[in-house]
Amino acid sequence: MQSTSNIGNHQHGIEACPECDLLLQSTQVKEGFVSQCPRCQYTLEHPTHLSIRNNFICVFVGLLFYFPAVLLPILKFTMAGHTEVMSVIDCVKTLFTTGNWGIGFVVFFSLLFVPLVQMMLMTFITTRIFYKVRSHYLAISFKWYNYLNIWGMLDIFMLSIIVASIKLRDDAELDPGLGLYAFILLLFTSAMQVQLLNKKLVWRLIEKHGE
Amino acid sequence: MSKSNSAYSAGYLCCRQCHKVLQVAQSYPVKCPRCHSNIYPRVPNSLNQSWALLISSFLLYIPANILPIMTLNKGGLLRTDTIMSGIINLVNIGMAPIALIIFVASILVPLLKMLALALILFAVQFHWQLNASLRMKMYRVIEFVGRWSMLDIFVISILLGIVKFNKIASVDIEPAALLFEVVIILTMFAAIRFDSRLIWDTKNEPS
Repeated sequence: MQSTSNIGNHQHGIEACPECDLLLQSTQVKEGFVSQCPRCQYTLEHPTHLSIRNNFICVFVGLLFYFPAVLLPILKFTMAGHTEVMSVIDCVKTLFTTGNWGIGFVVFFSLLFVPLVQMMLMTFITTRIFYKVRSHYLAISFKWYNYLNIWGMLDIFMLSIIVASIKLRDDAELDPGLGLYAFILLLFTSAMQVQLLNKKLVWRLIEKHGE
Repeated sequence: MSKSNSAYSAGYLCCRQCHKVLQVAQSYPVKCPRCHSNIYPRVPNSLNQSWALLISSFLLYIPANILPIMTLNKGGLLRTDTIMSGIINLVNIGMAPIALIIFVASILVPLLKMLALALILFAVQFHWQLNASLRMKMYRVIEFVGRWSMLDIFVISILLGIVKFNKIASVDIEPAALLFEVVIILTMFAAIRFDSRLIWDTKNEPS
């Protein structure tokens, strides 16, 4: 069963589903179409028009909004005539100063560190591929980009903002700050980034320009 | 037992990181020529690692639910809540929709997730003949919803951040918050460490 003798050298047409290991024939997928594994429905490829260029634009816009989203106040909080503002960075700082290191670290990691590092890696990868610059670090960058993917939690934080403001609705007056709008745009660009990314194409191009 | 149609039984290996297909080798790991990851036919000890992470998360889940998660001090009036009592309190003060969101994210999802993952791991370990595509769907749902349990942790962090210097109200984070967070992270790792290809493998394939 494991012999390799009768396989020959037909590797070009062969593919395997990474999630269920079904042997597949590779196919050309047109832009806007999706190819799925027939057994486990894993999305094998979902090519979009000019995905590398659009991905770069997305990441670039995301980087522009990252610092406003993190540094500017997200919520304005008025209670008994006393107004406070809160930004993401304040939130992390308060967690650390009150001694909640464990929670502070995870909030820092999933809201500040992962989104920034992912955008930096993506900028590196897309510009290198776009200008066809060779680099050894492409493969490792994209690998880390994929590892970090599930640890970025901007979307969950957005829902948390909504839940927290409804919870405080009776006790205080809450107003959105400028940071909230930047945060929503950052969230939008990061969602677009995932949508536009054609991993298979990126890996093919890395193989071409990698060494 | 159905006939196997996996790439491995046909003599091919698939890189889990970059999905490159290679031919089977004599000894493992093989270095992937494209992304330089180590390739094995199946992730070694994937089942054991998943079990270890799942069992530790389950053990921590018990104190995370019994111990208080936060204390709210509103004008000298102290209120200490566990996850469940906080949800009941939200229902009592007429915020049922929010209570439902937090109930689903912090009680229902972690519990169902641990049970479903345990079922998947048992089925692989003892070769139970369960519907593989159903188990795969369960695994995908587990992978997708796992992170959303962090909701409560973020809500508490926002509450703490917002009322930090207020003279009328204050928030204190209690030990269960950290325990709960560790539970979520461990279950996320348990799902990542599990090699989903094992679901589809029949008895005569490598493990």
